[in-house]
Amino acid sequence: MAGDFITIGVAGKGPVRKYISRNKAVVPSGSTVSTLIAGLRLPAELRVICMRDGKRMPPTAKLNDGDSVIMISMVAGG
Amino acid sequence: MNGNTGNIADIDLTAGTVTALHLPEETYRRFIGGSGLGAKIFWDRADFSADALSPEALFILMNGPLAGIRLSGASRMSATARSPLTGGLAESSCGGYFAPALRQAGYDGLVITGRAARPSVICIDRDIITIEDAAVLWGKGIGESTAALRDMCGKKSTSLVIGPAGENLVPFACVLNEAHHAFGRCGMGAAMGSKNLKAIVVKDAKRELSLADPDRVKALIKELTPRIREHLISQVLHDFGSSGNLEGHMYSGDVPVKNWTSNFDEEMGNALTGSTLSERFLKKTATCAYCAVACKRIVQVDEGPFAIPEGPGPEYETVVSFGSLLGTSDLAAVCKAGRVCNDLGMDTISAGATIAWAMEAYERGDLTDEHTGGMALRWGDMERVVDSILPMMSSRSGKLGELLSKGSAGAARAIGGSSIDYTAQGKGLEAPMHDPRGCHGHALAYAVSTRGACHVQTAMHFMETGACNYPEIGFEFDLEALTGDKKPETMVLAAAIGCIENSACLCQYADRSLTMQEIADLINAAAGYGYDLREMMDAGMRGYDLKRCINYRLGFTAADDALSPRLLEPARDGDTAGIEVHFEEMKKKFYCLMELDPVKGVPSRRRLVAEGLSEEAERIWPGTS
Repeated sequence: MAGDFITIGVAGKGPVRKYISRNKAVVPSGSTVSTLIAGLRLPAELRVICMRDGKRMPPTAKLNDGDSVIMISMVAGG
Repeated sequence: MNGNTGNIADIDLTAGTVTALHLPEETYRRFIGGSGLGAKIFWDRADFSADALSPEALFILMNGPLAGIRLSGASRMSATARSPLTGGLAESSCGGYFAPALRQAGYDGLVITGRAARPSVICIDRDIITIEDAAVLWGKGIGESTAALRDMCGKKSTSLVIGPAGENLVPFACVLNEAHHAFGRCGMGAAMGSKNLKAIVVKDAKRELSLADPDRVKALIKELTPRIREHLISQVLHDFGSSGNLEGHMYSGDVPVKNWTSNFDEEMGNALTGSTLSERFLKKTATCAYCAVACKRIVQVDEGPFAIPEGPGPEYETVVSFGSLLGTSDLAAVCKAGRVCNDLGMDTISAGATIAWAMEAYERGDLTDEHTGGMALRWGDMERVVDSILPMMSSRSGKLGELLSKGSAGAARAIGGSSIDYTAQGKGLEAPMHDPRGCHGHALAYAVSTRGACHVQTAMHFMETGACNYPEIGFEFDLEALTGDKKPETMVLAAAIGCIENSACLCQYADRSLTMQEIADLINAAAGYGYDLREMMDAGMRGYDLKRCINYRLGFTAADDALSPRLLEPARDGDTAGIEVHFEEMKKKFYCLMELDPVKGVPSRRRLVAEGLSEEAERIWPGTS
């Protein structure tokens, strides 16, 4: 059922770019940031965090259909 | 002596003499090597009343026990001195090729005092150390000087060289190896310049290293090298250099913009990040000795006002210091500014941060045409930075050059008013390009770093961002960046780990995939210290505490474990806007955990004695028990 899924725009920045080859993700309705990250099968050591509207989202934050999130890594350097 | 050579050359440039300094093996074991051993020599030998640029001042170069073992990340070395910039204890770490060359020549380090009558170069040819005339090199840039020394001493020689800034005693002058790898921070170039010392050259030696357990060293290198190479951080560094995650960090509030007035500019993040550098200007990668990571960039800008021939490219710190911090997204200009600054021999962080401060001061009207000699300072005016300001700073010429050559804190004190409030520094050292308002533990780390605001003297930078985990020493925290939770506890471990890394002279990129036990195994196999994990951690903490005692004798107290107001005011935009950093609470708890005196800023007598620093305890706490 289409209503059971939502579409999220995703964009990886920095080292996350390498692991996100698409710009959309379809996840079950009610999904959280954790669900999205798990579904993308990103390496755990990337320590990815999601940003929505310029603000970081806690792992428990619920996603809404049509959200655009930027995914960044906290991996340090420099 | 196992592993270490046991030979330290004690060079008096006033007398023109070289003698051997042999320290007990136990002293090596207690302080590891590198910055820890450098601090111990400083404590034992320094005239604490001597000005940083006086002939009496010490300039100490020390290898760690792993120098030359052909392991990725083990080719760094440490410099120790009194900082001409801060007046406190200076330490600086440099990669490249000098550390293994010095080891192969048969030395663990050099202790340099005095002042040569004429510009000089120290030449090390195995057992023979000579002090040669360097008048022909004086006034030359680092690139030209390095090439000339290679012509004179052989293609396989390697050198540490200062530029005009070091000769002119600019307090944030740096020292470069092979015109690429820097002792960047704290003014080591001025320390050398004050001794009329243009360069130190090691001729090709290729001696067999003496190791405690050569087979074990070989086995560890074989085991660890693939892991180091394949670690995520290594891959990012290899593919995109140290600025590979700049655009990501821009979103998390880590990257300062326009003298730290902002920490978000998406366009700048995209324009300056490592992948853009690779796409536009990268010619090839380069490495330090024996390193499989190859994070160094070789770049070329073909055309335009900032065209530069193929040569060393900018690191993350340089990209931000000359990029977003100055309000520009022009990556070609950043490449050229970095190249010019290196050749003149100035620390790119301090130089960029001082110019950024001046641009804001000019915008505010605190810095006027009278101060600048009529030169307007505008955000993003990179032609002026490259063509005028950097050369003026290095030569201390003109009103503006003389003013900015003092560094941001010195310049702010000179013009007065509230301009010190918008410097971004701790203990007078300009902060690195990671905004503590985006990772609150960084605020604590910058403030309690003994050399001033610094992200690599301790391991907090990597621990707070989750780049490493050390369950074997109790560090399994999943830290939240935007709070002070567990940061003091982390800082205690970070202080010890940082001192271990800088004493073993390990690269903080390459060793991220290593456990603390593996670092102990490496040190034991190379140097035969026989550490268990606790003993190695104690050695790291002993080094950190000793450095605090040195700073106290140089006039620093608990009040100096602080940051300028700009670094702690709530960010104005981006993800971290409006969030307060609870710095004083973190500092108070850290002091409590470390038994630091709330006035003196030094460890308690009990703690020093327990660390085996009884002599130091008596000096700091005379007549008490």
